[in-house]
Amino acid sequence: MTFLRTVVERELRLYLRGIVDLIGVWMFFGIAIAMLPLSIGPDPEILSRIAPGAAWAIALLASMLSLERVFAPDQRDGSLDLLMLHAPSTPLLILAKSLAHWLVTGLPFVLLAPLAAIALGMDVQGVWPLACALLVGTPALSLIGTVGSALTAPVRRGGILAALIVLPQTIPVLIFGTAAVSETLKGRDSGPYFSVLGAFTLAAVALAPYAGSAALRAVRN
Amino acid sequence: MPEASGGCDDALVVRGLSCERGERELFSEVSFVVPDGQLLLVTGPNGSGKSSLLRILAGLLEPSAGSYRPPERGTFARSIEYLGHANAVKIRLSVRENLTFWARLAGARNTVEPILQRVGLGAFMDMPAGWLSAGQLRRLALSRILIGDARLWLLDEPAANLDSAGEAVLEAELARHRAAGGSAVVTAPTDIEMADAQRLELAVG
Repeated sequence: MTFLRTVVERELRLYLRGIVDLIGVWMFFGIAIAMLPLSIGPDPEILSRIAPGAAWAIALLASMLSLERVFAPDQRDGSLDLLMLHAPSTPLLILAKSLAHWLVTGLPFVLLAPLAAIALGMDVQGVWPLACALLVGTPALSLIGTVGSALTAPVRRGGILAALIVLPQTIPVLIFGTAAVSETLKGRDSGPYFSVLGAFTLAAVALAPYAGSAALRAVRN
Repeated sequence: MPEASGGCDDALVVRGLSCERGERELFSEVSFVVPDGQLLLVTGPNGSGKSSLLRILAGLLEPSAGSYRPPERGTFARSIEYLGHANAVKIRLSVRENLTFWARLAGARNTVEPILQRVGLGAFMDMPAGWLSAGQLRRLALSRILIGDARLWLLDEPAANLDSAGEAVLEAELARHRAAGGSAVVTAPTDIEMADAQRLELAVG
């Protein structure tokens, strides 16, 4: 536990010292959502129908933007060797990295959900379902993304490659996250969709640390 | 080459270690024993596998053959500390923050400030590490080894970028470590003066 807390604190400190990169990610989320009504047109009918899917797709892409920050800098300056030597187990290191990544890229999207919901014409009733769905689903994005980042740790400018590897794995999150929001908006029972979304995140919590650990060992030899 | 006999007091016992990178064999059948309080100096030309040997001993690289027994931690806080080519310094953190992080990970009993004084960074503690010179960065990396309180130090060209005062610090700390019963494996590109050290020379294979 000391290890997890120490590493997460260090990650957050490093993210905050390079806050410009982070603001870029948050602004991508905000601007992409603000642009959508401009390009689609202000018709609330169309807008509110595509809003849940659009919000999720933008959140997914924004979360992939910062994958290069997860392992590549530590690999370059030699810190990754020592993190692995000090970690009680490598999966715990992956978990710490994912948690820190989620705190700076997943959680802010949850907090920006009210803005997104209103900008996309979902009205106030869309705020709560979108925030909940993002809260349940985005941890899976960070966990899967961290595995992709581990796979591309030694690759120069590996962020795009990581995103390409990761995106297919995240499609279930996208589908069920979107369905959870849109079914709620239609007034139907969205419980099953939220359950599947939650199950997906729990499965990622259980599996991604081991996948990431195997990835790190494979690419660094 | 020293024979691997291996008593209980030996910090490190290595038997028949071989390393291949790609198709090329870097070294094969390397055996040695480093007893407590001893220092093994590994020399050899560029590309002879000095760094790979150290990475294997640190557990960061799989050997293609052979075995090694890393030490129990004994009276020390940890078993192994490893210093690679890269300094593992975050330029966005201050000197103090850099060392504090590794100290907390290592569960170090020592406090950070005296260690930074010892390596000559006492006046730079609150400076961003990005402002340090190459030699000062190496000193900061060295301070990480000191605070870890490990029984076996694996140092890959620790004197790189160090000035003569820095080298003196390194030598003093190695002597202090050995006096406390610790041991070390140190690589160097050329044979350097090192009091009563064992020597292992790797050739380009």
